[in-house]
Amino acid sequence: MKRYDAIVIGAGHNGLTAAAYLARAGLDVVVLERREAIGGAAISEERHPGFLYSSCSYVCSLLRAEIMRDLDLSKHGLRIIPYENSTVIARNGESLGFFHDPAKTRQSIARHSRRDADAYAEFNRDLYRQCRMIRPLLLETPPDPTSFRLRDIKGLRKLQKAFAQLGEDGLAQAMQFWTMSCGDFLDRYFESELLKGSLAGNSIIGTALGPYSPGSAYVLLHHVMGDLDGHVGAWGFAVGGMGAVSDALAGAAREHGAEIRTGAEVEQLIVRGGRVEGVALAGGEEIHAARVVSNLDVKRTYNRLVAPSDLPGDFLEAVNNFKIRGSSGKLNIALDRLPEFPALASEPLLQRGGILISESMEYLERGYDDWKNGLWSREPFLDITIPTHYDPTMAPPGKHYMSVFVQYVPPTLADGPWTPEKRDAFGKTVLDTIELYSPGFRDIVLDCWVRTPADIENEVGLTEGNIFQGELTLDQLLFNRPVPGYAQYRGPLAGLYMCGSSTHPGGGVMGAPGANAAREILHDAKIRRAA
Amino acid sequence: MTGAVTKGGRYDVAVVGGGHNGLVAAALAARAGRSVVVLEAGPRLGGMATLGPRNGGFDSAGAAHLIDGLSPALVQSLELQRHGLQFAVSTLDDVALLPGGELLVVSGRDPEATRRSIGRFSPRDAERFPEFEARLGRLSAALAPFLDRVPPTLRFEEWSERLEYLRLGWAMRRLGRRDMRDLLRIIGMNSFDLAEEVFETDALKGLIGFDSLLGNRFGPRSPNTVYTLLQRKAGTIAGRRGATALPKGGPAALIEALAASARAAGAEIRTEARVAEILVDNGRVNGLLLADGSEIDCRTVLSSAHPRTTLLELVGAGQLDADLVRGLRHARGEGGTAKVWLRLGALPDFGLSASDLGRSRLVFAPDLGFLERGHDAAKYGELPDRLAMEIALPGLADEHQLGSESKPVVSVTLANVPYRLRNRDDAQLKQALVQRTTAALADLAPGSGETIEAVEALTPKEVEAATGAPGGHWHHLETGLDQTYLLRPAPGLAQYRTPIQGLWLCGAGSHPGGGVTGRPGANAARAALAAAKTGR
Amino acid sequence: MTDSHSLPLAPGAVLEPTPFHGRTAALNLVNAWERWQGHTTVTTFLSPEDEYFATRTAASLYDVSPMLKYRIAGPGAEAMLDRMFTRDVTKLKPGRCLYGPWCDGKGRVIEEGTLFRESAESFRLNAAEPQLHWLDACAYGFEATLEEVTEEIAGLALQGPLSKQVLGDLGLAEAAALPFFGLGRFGFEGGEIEVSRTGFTGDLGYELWIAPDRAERLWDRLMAVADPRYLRPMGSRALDVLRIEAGHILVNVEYVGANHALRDSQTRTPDGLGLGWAVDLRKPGYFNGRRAIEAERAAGGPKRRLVGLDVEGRKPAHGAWLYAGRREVGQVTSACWSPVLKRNIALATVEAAYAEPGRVLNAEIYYVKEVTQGRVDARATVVEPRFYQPAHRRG
Repeated sequence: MKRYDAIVIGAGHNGLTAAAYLARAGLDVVVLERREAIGGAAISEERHPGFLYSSCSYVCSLLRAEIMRDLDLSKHGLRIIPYENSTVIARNGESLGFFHDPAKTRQSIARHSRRDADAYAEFNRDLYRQCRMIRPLLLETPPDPTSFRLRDIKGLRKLQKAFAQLGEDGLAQAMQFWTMSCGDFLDRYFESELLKGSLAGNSIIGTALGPYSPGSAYVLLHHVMGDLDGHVGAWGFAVGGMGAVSDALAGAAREHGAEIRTGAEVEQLIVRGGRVEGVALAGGEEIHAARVVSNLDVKRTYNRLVAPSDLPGDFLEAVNNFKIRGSSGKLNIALDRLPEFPALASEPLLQRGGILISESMEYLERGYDDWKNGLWSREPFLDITIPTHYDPTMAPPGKHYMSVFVQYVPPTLADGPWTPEKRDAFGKTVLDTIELYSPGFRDIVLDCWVRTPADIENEVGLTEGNIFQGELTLDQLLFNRPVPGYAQYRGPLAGLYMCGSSTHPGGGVMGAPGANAAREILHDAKIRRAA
Repeated sequence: MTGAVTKGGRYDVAVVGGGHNGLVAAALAARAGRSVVVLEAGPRLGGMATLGPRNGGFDSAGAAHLIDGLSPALVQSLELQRHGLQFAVSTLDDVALLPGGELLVVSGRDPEATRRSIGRFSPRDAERFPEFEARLGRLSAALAPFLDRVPPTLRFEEWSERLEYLRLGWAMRRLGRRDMRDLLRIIGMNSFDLAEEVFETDALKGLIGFDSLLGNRFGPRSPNTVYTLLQRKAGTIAGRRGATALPKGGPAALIEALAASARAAGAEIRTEARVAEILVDNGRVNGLLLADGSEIDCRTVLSSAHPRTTLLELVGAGQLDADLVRGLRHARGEGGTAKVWLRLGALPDFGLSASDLGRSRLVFAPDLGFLERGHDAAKYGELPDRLAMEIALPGLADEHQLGSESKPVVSVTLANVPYRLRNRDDAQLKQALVQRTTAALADLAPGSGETIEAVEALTPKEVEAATGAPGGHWHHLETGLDQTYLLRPAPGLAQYRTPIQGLWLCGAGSHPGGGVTGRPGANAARAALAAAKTGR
Repeated sequence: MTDSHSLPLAPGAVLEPTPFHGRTAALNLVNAWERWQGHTTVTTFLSPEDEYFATRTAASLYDVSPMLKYRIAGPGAEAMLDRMFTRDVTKLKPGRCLYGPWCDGKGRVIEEGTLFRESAESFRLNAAEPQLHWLDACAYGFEATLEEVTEEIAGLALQGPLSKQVLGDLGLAEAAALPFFGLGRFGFEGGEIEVSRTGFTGDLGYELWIAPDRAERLWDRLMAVADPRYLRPMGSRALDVLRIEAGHILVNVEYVGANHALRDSQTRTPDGLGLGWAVDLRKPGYFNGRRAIEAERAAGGPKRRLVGLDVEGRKPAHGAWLYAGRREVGQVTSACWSPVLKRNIALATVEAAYAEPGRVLNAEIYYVKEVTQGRVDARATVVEPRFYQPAHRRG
């Protein structure tokens, strides 16, 4: 019977990244995907004739350029087009635009507050300083601060240096930044509620924190530390939808010899003598390998695939204490034509980028309060994009695809689990909200596919439908992610690795967890690929 | 300004503010042989600790009805016991009040009683509780020594600073791998998650949540609240870590002991001596100008006033760098805690005997959701319908504290109070606080509503007006992670030293923050004395 | 109304025209434009050399409208600005201007610029980078109001040896008689014009400030009286040469402002920029950065200093690395061939130990050699960074 060098469970973008790196280093790799399609949450699906939806993840920024280059993803069809602006629109017809051109952004902010326009440059500088510190750490394995191993001490030294280079002021700022709330951080610079609301949007996407929860400032950073074509903080569309990212990664993996099997649901791991030797599929088939890499989140990996008796009790407890909270929903909408946003009448091009509904800090905070009480936000934060402005292949000529990301949506509701009726009601809340900003919007909707956290969990297999496979709070970052002492892509079982977004540096179609995990596996296997 | 400048005396050290931190600083400086004067603006000493109701005959009531975290080293070195400090109760029981009259008792004196009480709700939690206490005890003990030390700066190039970081690192390492990992994980967490990870009993979780946010404007879901809980646990009172005690004679007696200790060492204490200005000449302190026009001649000033009052009002923004001023202005410190005192005609029936009632700290915070919803209301400037509160009847264990008519005084500390009610004035807030508290009392101690003879309340704005601390915050500034240790009160000011040579911050706005601990005063005084010795 | 499936390709204007745009556009024969603080401004009208020599020989007009302008007013304005500037603002009389830096608490220069005292309680500050956020921080505790007035005031620099005569011809003899760094308001064409004896060229010159709706009228009048003379509208390319010759530093070229610098190493203290003369430690009041500047001086001064370089050869030393022997000791920040001096000059930042005048360094200069890059090593002598200071400048 064939024995592989490595089995990757789950063909999400991180699993595919890990597989591609491992195959490229010469390992014999098989990727096992439960669903019929690969991609996990980075997937494009035709759910309405002629329309291609980026079903879950919808924009791209964090995907590391190193991975694009190492795996030659452009050769496998990946093209990412940065969108050049974004905007927040208000019910009173006002808007505020963030443009590729700083002067234009300044003008736009100055219409709301001249002080804020001046402060924005300093805000950007301060944020970018933090980005500069964190970015080099993304493709590093987090060091264990309790360890005396040379690797860890070197890693800690590197971490310390990254901080120390900030200088005295920058360091104080960094310490505050990592611990304070996004709201307090923004209040230091700005007075315009619309400006603060739009910037705070980045601090709550995918996160079960309010903008005034301490720690939310870091999440803001997580959303602006990506870069495209040299522009830090820029976001872009993948041509063909986010599935194109997964397809390109799969192409790279296959090119290097990896095998990808869909419809292959892993039921459990085969553990012998504390060592993982392979997997058993739902149909009973067993596949053996020297090591297994799980793209699943840490809870699914250890709670579902391994018998508790094979794991140390305190480790299992720590896994259960890892916070993975569903807080986001998604609407994919097929449109008969472009919607009209009166607030953008004077700057119609702003429609080409992200359109935020985020009236003020209180608007977001109250949305969070609803979530805490087991309700979807009555007035939700929306991140709207219309990728067909850039990529006409995603809809029939003249028609458009709109993606609407919704925050906050609870994984289960105060009055019980999600039902189709509740899902419809949730969808109606969102459409009604859009209608407030785009009168007549409903009339151009051809199809609307509503996805609750429960739907995302059931279809994609993300626990609670959390898009990051775990909250990005201070207690779950770096050496704490996912479990203190197990932050280096390995768990307590020999031969079992983690490569999903539950691991450092977290979610957001970065590919970094997959690449980092592959590097650790190759380190253990003592394989060093010639550059 | 013209007119005769009257001489107010010449001293080595002047202390601004006669709160407990000011008195501690004064006593330490006097014991080190310095001539010291304490200048208190108001008619009484004690600052926020002894701030009481002005009407209603609540003689010795003070805002700080219970004391936790008073530094034992200070009690010893200032000989506070010789100067009259006694504890009526050294370890109070925590009693969680529940709607419907049920009680959950956590007794620091009697672990078995605690186990039984929790066991009635959940045997599992009863088993887990001792380990949880021990765990927090170990982690907070690692932090505790740093409460008595000057925080380091972020100038890594200096060896003294590196040494302090090594000390901190070593304290963590000494915890052992398991506890160190635990500490590094939970220190940034919220008390909601921590309590949920361990326990299933709502009342117990509510109690933990309440202790994690009292004094601050947090909900249990606010990250940082585990840190504030640990800091509370790190305090030691009457030899017991994390305990709460009741001084005989109330907070006023503690203040008297501090004042007596300071006086005995030669310090002069003046009340109704308002400092109008800290005189600065060429970047260094050159005396104090009092509101009555007199001048104090001194080169070292320790100010226990709010950092903003000290630097922006008494010194003036113009003497400071604008970025430092900006940092100070951004420090969060709007109060979220209020007080209500009630005098009752009869002992309230909380389901506890008079003697138990006298040595208990009653907490109404039935579950974490309750606390979080209260926080949600307060953050929008609304007053929650039902308030989380801490209730004490200090007079029962301490005859000195009985009301003037020997009737029980119920001292209530309210959490989740907005600093400002949206679209309402402070009088309306005050009225609402009284109404909410009496209603809660009638509910929690049936029959007590009819016996209320007098009620007084104290809002954050009143604390602000009475003490001059902008925001009227108990700790002067919030004690979240972003405003703690070397970031407290603001970057660049965490070593008690200010840019004005000879001027030191010694109040609750400095590390380690509020509560009647005396630590900011002691740390600042020691730093100032050491600096004077080395000439800087 | 947008089309059903596409958006218009022409978005709203990114750059604003300046109040002189109608006139400068007509004269910009080579369509050479560049952006300046969100505005369209002229790089060169036709020939940078011609524009340069007009300034050094006769006079030129340069549109400075995009300069950011802030009005600071109120009974506490003087005290606020005195705390902000390193110079003594209390000594600045109404009707006078001063040039100087302002620093953060670490003594790092945020920017330098010109402060105009229009009256006892009203000042105008001209800056290159947005300052409202910082002004706001500085105003706390002072009775002063802040207002950005960039769009309310059009600015035109009239510079060159003949500028005084030109102003006289315009009927502004009084303005022409302003002392160096003087400021005044004068009647002009039935309205008002503000004139300051300031500029960025190092030559005799004035800056004219006028309401935007009267800007073109001012331009037309100037061009009319200039007709028989060698007066030229000028673009930024010529100005850059003029300012290097005069030794004027430029934010984001010689240094990065403390509030916008990503890296500490890109900031400078006043001493490091050769602005030590503008730090008044004798003034009684505290000013931002005073303690830090005093500490830096006590510790022996800045690690790096701005110097002028006299570079051998003809290749402008743009961005050249500077070596003392094999040790890399600094880098050129601005460089040009000086047409009036017929010399190759540069501004550079070098380690303090190599900054004394007379020190000879080696400049590693890269230049475009048709389609490839060429490299020369040239001797570069450290000199005072005031290459051209004509006597008539203050006359």
